[in-house]
Amino acid sequence: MSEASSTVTDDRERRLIAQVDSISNQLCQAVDGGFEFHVHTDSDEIALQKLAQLNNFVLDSVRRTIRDLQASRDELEIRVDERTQRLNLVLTATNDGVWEWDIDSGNITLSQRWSSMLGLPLEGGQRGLDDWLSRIHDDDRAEVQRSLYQHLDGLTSAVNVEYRIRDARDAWRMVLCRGLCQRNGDGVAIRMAGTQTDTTEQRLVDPLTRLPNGAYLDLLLQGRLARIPFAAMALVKFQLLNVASLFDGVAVDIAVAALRGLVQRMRRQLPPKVALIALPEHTFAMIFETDAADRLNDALEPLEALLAQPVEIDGQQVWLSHVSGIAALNPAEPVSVDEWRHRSRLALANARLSGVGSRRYYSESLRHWERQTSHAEQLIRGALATRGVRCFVQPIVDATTGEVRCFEALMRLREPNEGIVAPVSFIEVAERSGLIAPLWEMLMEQALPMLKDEAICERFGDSFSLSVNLSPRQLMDPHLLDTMIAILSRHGVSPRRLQIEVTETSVLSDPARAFRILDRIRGAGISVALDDFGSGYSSLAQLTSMPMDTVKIDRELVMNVSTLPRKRHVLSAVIALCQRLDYRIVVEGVEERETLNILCDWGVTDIQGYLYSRPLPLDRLVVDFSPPRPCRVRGAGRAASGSSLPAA
Amino acid sequence: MIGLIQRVLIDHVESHYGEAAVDRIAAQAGVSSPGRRIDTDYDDADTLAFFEAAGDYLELHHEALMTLYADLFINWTRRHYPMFFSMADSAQAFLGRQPAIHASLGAGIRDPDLRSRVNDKFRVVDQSEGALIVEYRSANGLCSLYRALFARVLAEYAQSGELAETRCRHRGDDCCRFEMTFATGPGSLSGSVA
Ligand code: HEM
Repeated sequence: MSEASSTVTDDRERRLIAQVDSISNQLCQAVDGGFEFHVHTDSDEIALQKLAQLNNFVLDSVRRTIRDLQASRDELEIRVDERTQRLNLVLTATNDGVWEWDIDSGNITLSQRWSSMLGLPLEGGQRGLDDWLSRIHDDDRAEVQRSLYQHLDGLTSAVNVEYRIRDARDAWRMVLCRGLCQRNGDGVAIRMAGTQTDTTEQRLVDPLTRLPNGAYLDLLLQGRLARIPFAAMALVKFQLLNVASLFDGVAVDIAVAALRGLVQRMRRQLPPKVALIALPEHTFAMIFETDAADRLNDALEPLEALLAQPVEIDGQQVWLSHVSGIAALNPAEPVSVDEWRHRSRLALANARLSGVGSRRYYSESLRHWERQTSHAEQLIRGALATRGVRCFVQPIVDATTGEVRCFEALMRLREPNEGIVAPVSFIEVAERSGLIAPLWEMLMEQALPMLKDEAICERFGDSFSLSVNLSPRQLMDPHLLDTMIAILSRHGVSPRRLQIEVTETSVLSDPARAFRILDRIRGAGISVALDDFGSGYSSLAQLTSMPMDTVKIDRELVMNVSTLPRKRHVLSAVIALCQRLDYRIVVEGVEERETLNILCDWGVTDIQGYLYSRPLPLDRLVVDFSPPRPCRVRGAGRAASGSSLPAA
Repeated sequence: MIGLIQRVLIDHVESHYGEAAVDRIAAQAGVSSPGRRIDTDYDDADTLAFFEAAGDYLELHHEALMTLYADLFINWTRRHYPMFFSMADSAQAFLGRQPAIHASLGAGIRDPDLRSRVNDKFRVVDQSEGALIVEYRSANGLCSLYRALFARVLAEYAQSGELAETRCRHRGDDCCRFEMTFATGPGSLSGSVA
């Protein structure tokens, strides 16, 4: 090789090396992980151009692969994001908290909503399972643990448990916890996760009034009794007696709104710290931090003052009556929750008996009353079981003709040891316990056949009617009329031969409703009598609008009229009014002939009383009672307002 | 078009008819200096004009020029890109990879628009045992070149086969479509290439 040609070769080689080196140097740019560059060469050598070209291809491929990866990662992220958003939406909509339990570490992760549900600060990071369990109510904790572990052990398909949990204010909330276990290929649990739903509204709130309910009261009572040191407290039960009148003839939603409004006003009459709790039968409970009667009376007065005002509903005013029962506990004698509740119930039941507006404190004497009550209840139940109901009858006689117009059926119970028991010992308990209805039906089963009894009809004719008493509770029973019609038709007796007797008190507790019911009863052909008129405080004016046929004047107004002129004036005025209003009149409790003569003088014909007959057992009637001789009317046809009376 | 296409033709004219012949052809085509770098993109119209002028110079009809060119081209590419040939053990395999080869060479172009123009020209539509369908979409309309190269590739692999151009831009279709079948007969790469 010549010198010149070897120089040319050297030159070419150096250029080639320099150009390869330039390509390598350009490739150094990839060191930062960036591939956005091109390899370039000036060389005319095909091999170098190829090298540049294929490097560019590789770079382009890398760029494309990165782009594709990035695109699928972006897409994945978008999808994860969408899913997370959807899940969050669901969780926000359901307002659920989320929990996750890492099985290996034992750590629990709780979502922000989980904590805020309980008013707890969001302590970022993790806690132990015990932290959670310690907030759960003692009575529920074991069940929650069991539910978690049963699912962990694969015995159940999911966790689904409802329990009470203490919130940041130390109040109880009801929550529903649901969860599922995630397991690895071998079925070993890795983590458990789920939601916690606040069900307090559903479980601890009364849907009608939106106040806390009985379950909530239980929690409060337990909490209060568990407090150390034990402090004086009182459980007050306050019952509204005639809430039904709010609903009379008013759309349900309007009545409900009125009741809710009233309940909120009641709540505001209480100290802020005293919760108003709704129990069944329009009863409300409150716990006060004192056992002193004067302080409790002070606390209840605003509530009672509120109810002294009428409730406005649909342009009408409705007065609600109430009673309250109080069970105060002094720090020296703690009791169980059940006992505490029982005491308040007794006090309230007793208050109900004592009439509208009364306030009763629990005391040992209520125990005695309770025993008596329970004795009466046993008596009734025994009588029902052994058909121990006995029908007695007392005639109502038309004094002018001596004919029996009517027999009043009276209930007695036969008890093996005590013999025949009069209503005074059991009727109120029967009424309160709801046992009055079966007793009454037994009485009717015995009384109705007398209307067709041959011997009785032979002696007293077949036009007399039968009169029976209805208790307040029976009167308000929506099925009453159906029951009466059914029993009449079973015995083949016309409604025209039946009369019911109701008292002022049963009508006046809710007059509008009672009047409607009485209208329907009369519409069916059954007569209505107002019993014991004059024994209560009802005004004569109230009588005028009452749908009834007969007024039965109480013995109280009749006693001693022959000797006491002032009493005579009152009775004559009452009778005169009834006559003007065209009511039939029955005078009860007539025992003396002189009284009868006076009444006959005033034109009163229908007389009931010992003068004619005491109440007789039905089976003794024909034997022991014969129709009397007619009364001789001294000045015929003179009414009570007539001239034989001094002006009333 | 990438300079590789012209280079094969220029190298042939230069080695057989001298540099002056190249200049004459270039002058007739109206191209001052025809590009020949294999990593550079040149004006399509210049390339097409250069081919036409070369046909006139060589006194060859278009189809004959393409047949000649296909032979030159395969010889040239086998020398410079032997790997593409050894990677394919049959004509079908080679032709099936051809769109990818084009895309890899096009990847060297700096301008992304031009790059995708090269990359998008060829597309394998379907491929199965003994059959291959390729679509060719280019304003240059060089389906004649494709057909010539198909025949040359079959010869290269000593195989036989058929090509039907079921769609063609010259007939108003939006692309050319080559439906090819291959006889699975004797013949091997080593035998025909050697
Ligand atoms: C190693 C093999 C091959 C190489 C390196 C190669 C390379 C190239 C290059 C660089 C271009 C210019 C592309 C442009 O600028 O758009 C081209 C165009 C073309 N090649 Fe190939 N090619 C090869 C095989 C083939 C085969 C086997 C066929 C047909 C069976 C073919 C058909 C074509 C056609 C028709 C064009 C013209 C495209 C146009 O601009 O319309 N090539 N080739």
